[in-house]
Amino acid sequence: MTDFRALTIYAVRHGQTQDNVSQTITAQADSPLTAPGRAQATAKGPILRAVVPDLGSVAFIASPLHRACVTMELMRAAAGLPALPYATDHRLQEMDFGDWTKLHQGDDRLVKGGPSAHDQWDLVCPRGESEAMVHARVGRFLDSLAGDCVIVCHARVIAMLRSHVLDLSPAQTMSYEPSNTGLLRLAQGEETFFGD
Amino acid sequence: MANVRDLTLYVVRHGECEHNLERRIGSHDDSPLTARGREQAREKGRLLREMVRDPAALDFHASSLHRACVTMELLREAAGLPPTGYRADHRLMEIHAGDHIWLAWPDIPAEDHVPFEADPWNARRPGGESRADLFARAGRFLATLTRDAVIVTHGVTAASLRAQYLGLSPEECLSYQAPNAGLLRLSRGTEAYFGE
Repeated sequence: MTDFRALTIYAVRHGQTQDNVSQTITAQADSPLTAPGRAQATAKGPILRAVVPDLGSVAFIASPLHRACVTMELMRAAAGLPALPYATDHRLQEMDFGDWTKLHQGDDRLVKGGPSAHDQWDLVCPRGESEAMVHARVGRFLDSLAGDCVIVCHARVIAMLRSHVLDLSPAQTMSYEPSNTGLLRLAQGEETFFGD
Repeated sequence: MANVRDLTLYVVRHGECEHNLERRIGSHDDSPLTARGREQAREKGRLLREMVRDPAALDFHASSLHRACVTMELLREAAGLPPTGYRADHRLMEIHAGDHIWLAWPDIPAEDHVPFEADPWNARRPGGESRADLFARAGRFLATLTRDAVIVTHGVTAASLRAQYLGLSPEECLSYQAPNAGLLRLSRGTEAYFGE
């Protein structure tokens, strides 16, 4: 097995969606990219060209949720690559919020686990996942990697990729809010963010 | 809440994808629609326009997996509607095949087929869902509907929605194969299939 800590991972969040604007939890449902969100996806193309030494030698892997695949295709085209092909991996899907999917982020029904971060880490959404469960499945994804890669995925998943590579605590992991713009490079236990 | 049998539902499967041709279990991974699959999606839109006086008066729901959303967008364009303006719902995703996702049928170990021969309704692939789980999930989705709707989904999920709507037994649900082409109309408690 390749040690993912020896790899270079370029992690990208999908562009802004209508749900991001309205502060709605999309989770494993979907929401269309807004016009600025499509522009953000396109703007990742030149960043990718500038940051990745050889685009021909990295794997491209997206979450199979629509907003991630659309972002991948816009980004690839803007980087001078054909939109297809790329791989998808279900372990890159956003955290499953179960029955809380599509609730507003301020909804009263969102029960918080308790005062300590550890409680929230293990809080399982009804018919969904906990942060700890997402951390575990993203770890299994990282263990399956054989080389450097560009990954298009979601906020909670980028937080978990970062958590594994930087070896963070639950509290450090959950405090991170990835941007819809730019690109995060994770390599040799360090992170570098490349913005627009 | 509306009784779902009072509603008319147009249930379609995504168009043919590369993993359908490779006889792989796509499940919660994704692969691109083939050229034929894209044409099947447009044909569904043309069929809908012939069958429904005012397609814009319907609700539109897609699985949040990329192949279903792409099918929905091609269908809507061919029906004379803007491509977006539909809802993507995680409860319409394909059955979760767990560790068997992306395996080709011949690559599944023989012993892993045994539980399905014994109890095809309740058996789960490792880390995945059973047909009974999916049937329940399809029921939860149908309970949210309030208006006639077009639903773009997957093979096993289409079979489960149909069985819920028609009140079928597990055996009748298991024996149904949803085609990539055409459109299934569920109306007044009965079904009609419109092919190409």
